[in-house]
Amino acid sequence: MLRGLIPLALMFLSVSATSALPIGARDAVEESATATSDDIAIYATHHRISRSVAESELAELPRIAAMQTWLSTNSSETFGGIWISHDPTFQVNVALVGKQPGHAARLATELGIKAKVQQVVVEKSYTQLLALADDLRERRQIIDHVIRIDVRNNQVVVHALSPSSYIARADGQAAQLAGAAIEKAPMIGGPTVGIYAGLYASTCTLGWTVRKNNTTTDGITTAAHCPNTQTYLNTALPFQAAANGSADTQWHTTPGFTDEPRFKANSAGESRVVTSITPYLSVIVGQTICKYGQATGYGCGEVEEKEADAHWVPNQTGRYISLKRCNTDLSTEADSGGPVFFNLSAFGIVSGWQFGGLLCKDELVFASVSYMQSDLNVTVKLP
Amino acid sequence: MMRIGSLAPLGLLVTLAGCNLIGAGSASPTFPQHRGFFLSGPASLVQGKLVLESGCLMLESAGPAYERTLLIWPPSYTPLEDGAGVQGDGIELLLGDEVLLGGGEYSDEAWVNERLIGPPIQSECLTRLYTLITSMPEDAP
Repeated sequence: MLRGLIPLALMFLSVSATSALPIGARDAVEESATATSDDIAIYATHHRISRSVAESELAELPRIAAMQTWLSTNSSETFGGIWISHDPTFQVNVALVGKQPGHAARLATELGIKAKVQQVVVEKSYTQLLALADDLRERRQIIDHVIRIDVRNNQVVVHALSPSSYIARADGQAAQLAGAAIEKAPMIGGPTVGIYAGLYASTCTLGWTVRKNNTTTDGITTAAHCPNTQTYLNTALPFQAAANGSADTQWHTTPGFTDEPRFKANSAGESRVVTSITPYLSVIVGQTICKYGQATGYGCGEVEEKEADAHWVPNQTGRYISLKRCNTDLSTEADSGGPVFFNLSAFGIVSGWQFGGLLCKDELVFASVSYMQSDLNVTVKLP
Repeated sequence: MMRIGSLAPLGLLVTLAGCNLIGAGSASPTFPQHRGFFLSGPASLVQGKLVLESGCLMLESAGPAYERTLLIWPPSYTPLEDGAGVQGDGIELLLGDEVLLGGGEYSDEAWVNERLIGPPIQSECLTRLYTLITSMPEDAP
């Protein structure tokens, strides 16, 4: 709420940009905006103060804003910024480069500020911080970080999805050399968004979320014959590796998303948590298995064979599994990569389709989760 | 959906080995074709812009990771005159079109060459990745 009040106060400011102390501004700001009663009540509640104290503090804001304007205009080389703190009590903090004893207090007195004023010595002016932030924004190579100015700590802060990746690039190295603080940001631009099997990427369905073995790197699979360039919600999913042979699987990391051990199980958007995997050797001809694909949605079929000839996969070994249900089209373009499952167990991912016989619809051909894990050196994520 | 897989045998009958050289020595692009996926195929889509580079029809990928991949067409598809595009399944694609096609992307050049009708991919058309087209989907998501 306070953040909403400050711009309002600034709107009513009329401070001339002269080198003299802004005595005239004092009168001007006295007539400035008054917070509504609801705002004052919320402010008082939030800071656990009485209404009268809240009114007194809020009345200071136009004068504090006037001091900020005057310092940034007339002392830009030494002005490091202003911020209000509330703990333990309302206080105006004024950052100045170098020792200028009593400067902030004198200015506050001239402007009629009654609150406690704390002068803080800093190394960089706000102008310098701003110039550094602008420079780093211009250098940005990939939108995987945000650049902020932390006036309280007199520094530029970079919140990166992956600080190590950022520092490995030229833009990150420039930030590091310039002394910016580089921190990991759990998510940029909003709340955490989950990513899981059955969701739709650019041109294929996403498969199981996985973790690269002996690392903490997570990601998500799709079919190896799907384009390496995949996006989800307009965010690129960086390609990591692919395996043909028996796996027909590739995997991508998922910056900005949370890799969840679940899968979309029907077109209504319902999902299930995956709790186990069923390896190739445990699959039995005739058993019922289900799948979800972007084009054909949810469907189930019976295992027709465990040695399907997936000749659209380079170096394929004939260890693919086909599902058939004569009256159901189980697979078509855009389904590749989608999860194949039964109940809560992962069986594999969709690879392709094959002729289902006269008067029957096409069969689905899928790669077993066994080969996906072994050939990509990843493990399906389970809770 | 009309499957290219089901068209493959017919395509094989009418496609000559020299088809891979269509356009060589003329304004038409080189037009590599694969032998089809007999009664089967990958269940994926590819998306991008149809472009011509060094006389080769390429798919320029959409999105932040710019990449051009050589397009390899089903046996029943043919290039339009003057290299203006491609026709197949009763649909014409023109250079510059944003397209969404059935097909798969592959990096194994030797494997791709084995699947071609005619000679291997010409050197000027070599790319890091190759896109084998299977169909023009009628109901892409």
